[in-house]
Amino acid sequence: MRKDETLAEHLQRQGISRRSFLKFCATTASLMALPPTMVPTIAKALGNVRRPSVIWLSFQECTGCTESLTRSHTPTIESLIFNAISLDYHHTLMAASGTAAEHARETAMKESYGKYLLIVDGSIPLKDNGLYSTIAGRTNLDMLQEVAKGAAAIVSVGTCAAFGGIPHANPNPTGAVPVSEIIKDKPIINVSGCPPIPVVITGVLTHYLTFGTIPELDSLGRPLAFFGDSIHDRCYRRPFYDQGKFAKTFDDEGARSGWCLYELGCKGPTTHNACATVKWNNGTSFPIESGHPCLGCSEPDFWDAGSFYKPLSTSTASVGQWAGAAVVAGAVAGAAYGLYNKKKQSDAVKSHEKLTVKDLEGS
Amino acid sequence: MNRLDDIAVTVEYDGKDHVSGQSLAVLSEIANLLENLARTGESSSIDVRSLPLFPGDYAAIRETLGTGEVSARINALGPTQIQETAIPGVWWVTHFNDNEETLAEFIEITVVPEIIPASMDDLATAREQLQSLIRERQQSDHSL
Repeated sequence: MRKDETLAEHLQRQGISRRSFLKFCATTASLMALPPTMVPTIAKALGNVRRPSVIWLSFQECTGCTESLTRSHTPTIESLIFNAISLDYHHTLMAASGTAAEHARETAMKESYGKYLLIVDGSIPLKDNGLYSTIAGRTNLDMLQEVAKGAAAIVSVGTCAAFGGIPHANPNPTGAVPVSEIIKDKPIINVSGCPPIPVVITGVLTHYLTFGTIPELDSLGRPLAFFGDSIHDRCYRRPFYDQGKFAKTFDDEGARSGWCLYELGCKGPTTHNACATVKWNNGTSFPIESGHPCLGCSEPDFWDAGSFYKPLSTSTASVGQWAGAAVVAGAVAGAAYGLYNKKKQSDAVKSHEKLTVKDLEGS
Repeated sequence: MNRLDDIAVTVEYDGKDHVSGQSLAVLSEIANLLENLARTGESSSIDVRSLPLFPGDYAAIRETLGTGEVSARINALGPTQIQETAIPGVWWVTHFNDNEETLAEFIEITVVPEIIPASMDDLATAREQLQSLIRERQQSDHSL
């Protein structure tokens, strides 16, 4: 796409039809939980977009976030949104390396100062002056501070950039922190998840391109359209929870009948993400649908919240009793249960329970 | 391997069609939206995949709405299947990608889904497009 042409002109030149564009807009609007009446607005605004510059910085990360986005099974749809931006720096994806790559970043910053979008994946180590992670001889801290200065907004992609993630997990040897602990004077959108759902990343970019603003955020800075509901709220196994039907092991009759995985450690009730509706691998399934409890990867400190395989409410109360109450009192009891679990989860965070082989065996 | 369906995993089916009772709520919502369409002409749509439906619920909704006379397949960024239901004004629209995996699925309550008709923008260049084809045809006929 040439710098001076609009997305609509570009798509026309590429032979992408109006119906294709409409299909993209309808799919995206649905993902962003926008009413269908917004589709014409999205189509019009996106059609008139002139590609903004995007700089993507990767710090203490595993590249899983980039993999999530680029291995998405809908290249035609995702590439549409990538046609709408100019990705001027991403050290894993760009052809240039070394001095030439850093030069590209500096040029992009100079040309679009104050207007470019900064995407960060990975946490930033602060211990020992940040020397545990450097790019081109500069610490992540130094580079983030410099690039953030000229950014219009920052998107923290993945749980590491949003909340510190795995590098931040106890005992946090590098003193890792999320972007929001360093940058205080720019709008920051946290797209958490380990990794985040690819369409959530593109959905946030689409919102920014369409409306020129950042989407409505929750108390943890995550877009409400994707993180407004808990996994549990939208889980297709929720009716089993309400009926008190739980799988007790991974191969019992309950597990085979698709019953609730709460007792196997599912963190769905305390986890906010769009997995249960958007799903993974192009809508094929999500972990619970594949028979595994939710790990809670889009929440802060998920790695330190006790065992993945221990129920949220630990041994002090039997899940059976609580679930019985939920059946009687319905949704209200369910909500109270959620709060109870949140407290249990934060207690677990404080005591930092380590995962043992016993935990994995479910004993 | 191009398709996830190729992965040799089978789901053990327990023989019961689980239902949550959500299908009745969705069908009532469609009835309300139909009334609104008839009264104001305003189209609306329901995003099927945003609803926590059991396979039994999904099947119940499809079965109740039935199959109507019109069926269309659009090839745009992968196929899109449009099926009129037996209820006039209610359409089942499924968007697929090139690997025939479902991207999005809607129940549209409208006179005709917006993706079907030609757009006024395209009509502006359509005549020109055809005339250039006519010129090409004339030239090739002359050269014979």
